[in-house]
Amino acid sequence: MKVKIKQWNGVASWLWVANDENCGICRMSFNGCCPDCKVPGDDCPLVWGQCSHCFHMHCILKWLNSQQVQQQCPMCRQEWKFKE
Amino acid sequence: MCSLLSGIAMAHHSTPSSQKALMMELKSLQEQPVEGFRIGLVEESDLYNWEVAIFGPPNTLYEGGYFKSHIKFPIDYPYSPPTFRFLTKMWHPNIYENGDVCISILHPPVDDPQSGELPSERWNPTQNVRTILLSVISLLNEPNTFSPANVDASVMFRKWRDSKGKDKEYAEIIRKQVVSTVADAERDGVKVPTTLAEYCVQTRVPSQDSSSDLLYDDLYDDDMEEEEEEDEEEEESDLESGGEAGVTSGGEGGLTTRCYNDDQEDSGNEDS
Repeated sequence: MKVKIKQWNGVASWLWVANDENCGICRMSFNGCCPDCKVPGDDCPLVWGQCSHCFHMHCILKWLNSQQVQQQCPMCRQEWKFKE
Repeated sequence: MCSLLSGIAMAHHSTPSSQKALMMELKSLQEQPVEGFRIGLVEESDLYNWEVAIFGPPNTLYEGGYFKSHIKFPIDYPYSPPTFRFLTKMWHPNIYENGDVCISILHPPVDDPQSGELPSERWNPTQNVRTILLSVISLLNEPNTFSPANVDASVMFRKWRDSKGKDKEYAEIIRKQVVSTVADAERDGVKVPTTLAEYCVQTRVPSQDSSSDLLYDDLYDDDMEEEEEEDEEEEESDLESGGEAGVTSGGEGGLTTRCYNDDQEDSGNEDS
């Protein structure tokens, strides 16, 4: 028997590899996006601090930008520095 | 509910963020309640105004008490803190005449050397209603006399504490207030727990995030013979979820089930 493939659709799934399930700021899943975005993926990335805590980039920026004082990780309150 | 949500979502860009966060918190608190609290909305249509009833913890001055309060959330929650106000009259060093609770985690982290509070003790967006409730309930019995909101109550509390209870004025005022809350509880049809066993709610811990569950369900459908394995796995999954909660939000997940978990762990050790 011969099978002739006329058409096929590739399907892939992806996950962010984070050490947690939810963003501690917006409480939404890391595999979803922050509440201000509509589509998960590269447009709503995760970022890590040197303290190893992870947030949606939009969430942590919103918090850091609202702070006049020291910029701290909301989880561990160490000074926030982006991990290179 | 749905029409309300979409209406607000369209109105302003930053609104849905707090709306979503509050909905998730409310749901989580109703599924996994904090010991000694009952939570609801003041009005069904307004997620930004919560009604909280606090039961006085057993073996404390507050035992048997039923204290009502409101939590009001700002539109940019969780970037700004909510306010917590008791509606029931409270005589406490850290509660103002009007019922407002004064604790550092409810203050935004601005630089204010006058207050004596470090920015690091203050609000940040990973705080949540659960951590606030735990702070408030521990504040009841452990007032902070360094920056009192009610100076007279603070002086009286110190006399009571320093005399090891011989100076009874503070304790008597609180017991009087507790007794006067019984009528409120009756009016609301609430039975206030007075023993530790009644007070500690045993929580069934659901998985934290339903959206990623869907994903896992798809991937691992074959392995999920839930009904047969559920009983065996129950204890294990309780422990796991407790651990996760601890990582995401500073350990309060452990606190909510402490009374029961301690017992289980103890007996487990004896068996083995």
